[in-house]
Amino acid sequence: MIDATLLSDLLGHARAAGATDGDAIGVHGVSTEVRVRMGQVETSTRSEGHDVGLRVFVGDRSAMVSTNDLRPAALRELAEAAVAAAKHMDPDAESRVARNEELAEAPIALELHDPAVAAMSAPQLIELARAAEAAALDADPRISNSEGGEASAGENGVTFVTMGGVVRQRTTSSVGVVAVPIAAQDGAMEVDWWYASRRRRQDLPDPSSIGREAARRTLRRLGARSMASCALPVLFEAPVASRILADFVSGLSGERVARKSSYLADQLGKPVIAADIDLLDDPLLPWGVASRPFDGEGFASRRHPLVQGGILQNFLTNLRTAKRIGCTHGRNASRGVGGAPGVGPTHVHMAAGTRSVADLMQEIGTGLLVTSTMGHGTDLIRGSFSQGATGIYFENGEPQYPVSEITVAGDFGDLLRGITHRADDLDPHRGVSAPSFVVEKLTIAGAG
Amino acid sequence: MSSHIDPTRHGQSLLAESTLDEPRLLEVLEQGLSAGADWGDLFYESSQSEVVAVDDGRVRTASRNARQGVGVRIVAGDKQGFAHTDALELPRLRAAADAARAIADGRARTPVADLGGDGEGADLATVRLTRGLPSRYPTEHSPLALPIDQKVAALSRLDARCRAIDPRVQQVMAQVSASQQTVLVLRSDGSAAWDVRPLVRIDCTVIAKNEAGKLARGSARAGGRHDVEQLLDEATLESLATEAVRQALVNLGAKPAPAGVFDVVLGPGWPAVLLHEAVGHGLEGDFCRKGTSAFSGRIGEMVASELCTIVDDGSIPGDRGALNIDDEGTPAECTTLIENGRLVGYMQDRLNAGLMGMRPTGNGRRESYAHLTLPRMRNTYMRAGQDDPQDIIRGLKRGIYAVDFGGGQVDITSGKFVFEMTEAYLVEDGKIGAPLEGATLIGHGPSVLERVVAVGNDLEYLKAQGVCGKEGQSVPVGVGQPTLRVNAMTVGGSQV
Repeated sequence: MIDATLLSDLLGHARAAGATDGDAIGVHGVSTEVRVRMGQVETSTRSEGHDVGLRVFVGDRSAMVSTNDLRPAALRELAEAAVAAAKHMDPDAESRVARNEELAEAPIALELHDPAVAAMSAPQLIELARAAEAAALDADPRISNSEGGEASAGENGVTFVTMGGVVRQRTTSSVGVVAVPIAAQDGAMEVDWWYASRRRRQDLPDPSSIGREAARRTLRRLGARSMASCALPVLFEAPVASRILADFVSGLSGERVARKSSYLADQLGKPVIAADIDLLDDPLLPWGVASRPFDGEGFASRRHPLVQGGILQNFLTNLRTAKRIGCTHGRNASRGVGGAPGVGPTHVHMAAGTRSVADLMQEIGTGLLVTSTMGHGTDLIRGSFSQGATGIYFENGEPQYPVSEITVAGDFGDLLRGITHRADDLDPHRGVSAPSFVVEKLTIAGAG
Repeated sequence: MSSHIDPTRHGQSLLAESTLDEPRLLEVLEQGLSAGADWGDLFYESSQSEVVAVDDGRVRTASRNARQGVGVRIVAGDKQGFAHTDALELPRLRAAADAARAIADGRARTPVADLGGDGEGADLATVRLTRGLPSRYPTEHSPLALPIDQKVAALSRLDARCRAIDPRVQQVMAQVSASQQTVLVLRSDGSAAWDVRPLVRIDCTVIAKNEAGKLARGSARAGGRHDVEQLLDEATLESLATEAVRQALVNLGAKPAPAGVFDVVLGPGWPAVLLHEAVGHGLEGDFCRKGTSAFSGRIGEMVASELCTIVDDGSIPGDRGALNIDDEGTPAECTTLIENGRLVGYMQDRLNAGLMGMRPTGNGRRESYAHLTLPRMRNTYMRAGQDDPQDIIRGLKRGIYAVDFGGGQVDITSGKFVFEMTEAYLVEDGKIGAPLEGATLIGHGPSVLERVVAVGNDLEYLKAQGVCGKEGQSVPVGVGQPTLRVNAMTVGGSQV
């Protein structure tokens, strides 16, 4: 943990140099990461970093500086450079630091740090990575190679201080396991992967279950071919559905709205997703991977409704963007050491349905199960969706053949409003997470 | 084109501020090697960067970052132990060396003298890898030396120019980034090298809106490893504004793209993101060594049409992908990957080259001291062909002419790749027609270049400003190509 007095001193240097307000953030991170490939240790990495970031205001002009050089002379120089830069910027009456009275509400104490994670050694992690990879390699003789099994564990301490003297601190831990097996058949190779990431060691699933799932995902790609262009119902599997939801949530960023770079900018009060869906930003989930007691401007975290009954209620906002676009302040500031407070979600979970993916395939009859997408083909300005995809074509509810080298495309708003069914497979251990869902019709392009 | 910055003197004076010097760092590396490793390296870095941005009509954000640290890598066979720290104190560096050393514990060490390394002997820290090489960075001072008010003024002018071109321009987002990275590579074979690398870029994105409320984006960019001043002159600002606004207005009139298989003509320059994704990543030595790339073991085979010669070049002065040395001290060269359609080489760092019995090609790169070196691209481009680009378009009966792209992605194992058009047109009977809304193109890397049927004589390889991501690490890269025709690509539009 970066000592709060170091940040107070930094703010003191800024004040002495002419700053009228400011805030500072310090992040101390320690982690160990290992990779095992074909049973042998490939890399073992030990990381430690200390970073501090300072935002200064001279009236309504501001600038940011950051460094990992914590020597007192370097910090003083940094503060002076920030103040000198701020004086050259255009005034921005909408930016400011949170006031003491706004920060009077104490953050809820959230348990986010497990000492058992911080204590994990490289040999323990190697064992986890090896178990995950071995389970994948043992799953089927067609699993012929591997990008490896990886495991990592680490902890992060965040310290936040305002020039007004408010201090916030939090410590989080994180442990994760990944397996990336490769399968071969008829001279063609396929790769897929699976992972788990948790705050608490006891919540981490058995690594061999991660390896087996990675193998299952890889094996089902074998023999994939393209298909003829057509329009079909599409069932997006949960990881892909979660990516789509994350794209939608990005479109709710107050920063995008202020820049007119989201098709959702004028959609408050309008239907933006299927009418049976509510969405909420929830930073307070116990041991949640994206939970945080306070946001990037020091505000005590609270839940923030985004969508109710498919109708857009709120954008994600920090102090500046809330004022800029005239919307509710959602306490959604994200903050790295290097820049001004941004805006970002914590947990946004789309509620699960009650039926399995297989049941939904039976109900739809004919369609495409999309198991992964490639690229960044969601255009939030235009509100359009076009992604490379792999999946499984099904008829009468039964899988027919794996598909790849196709694209799936449509209007992004129509896609979200066209969600007709949701499966029972929501993963609660993700930040932005959706269960598998069905979209009634999308365009598939391929060479059939 | 020699630099006025002496890398060694500049670097050593920076290091001295931390009361460190090369002999002390070598002791740290020696400590890491003492458990029986084959070889290792130590990477010291000190970097400064500055970003100034205009957004919403105001130049209201500026950020400056300074980072320093040391990464120690210890290699035993194909195993790598790595540790890094930003605390530049001997006890912390020794702790890092110990953590990295654990990978080799218990092995009998191969004596350094037997390594047959590329150093000129064991006189540590005196063998200078860069000696005698001309610098590929035409700079006379740090790109951070320019006073910030000049950047602020230039961005204000850029914003005003964009808005003055057309009233439909709603928003301008532009930024100037400048950085200087000073690195020291110390190797266990006794060689050492400093490099001081400037990197600058300017980005301009505009959003336009028509009467119907439709929004569209256009963008333009420039940069390289050179002075920042040349990005801020009136001619450059004018061309950025003109290009970004032109593209946004074109896209305002765009129609939904068709879905299906089409012959595609790719414009010169940045559309070479095709090469980067379709073949570039698959030719990186790590994937090829492990047999996980669709190109593994295929040296000598035809993997593209005879019209295609593709290189990865780190030697273009002032280019974004240029390097004097890579992050392992190997001089960056121009590496031929595919020659007249035949696969002739991979991109190699020292680890993978050594394990494959091949030669390092100067492609060993890392995002920072806190990241492990990987084989990475520099500027990957296709050499010019014979065809007149206008003839290539005229020869297209019905298809797509794509002139600008967003990013791309590849699955190197299956070879499938995507890239996203951001400016494209329908072509009918050889005539460029209606603009098309953005859509993803998808293909199969090992076969797509077999369907290259025309290569233009208009190679453009200096304008691209790419950022390549691999294993969570970002590095700057260039790409380039002449106008190309590729038959039978799948276009992911929404109109069947």
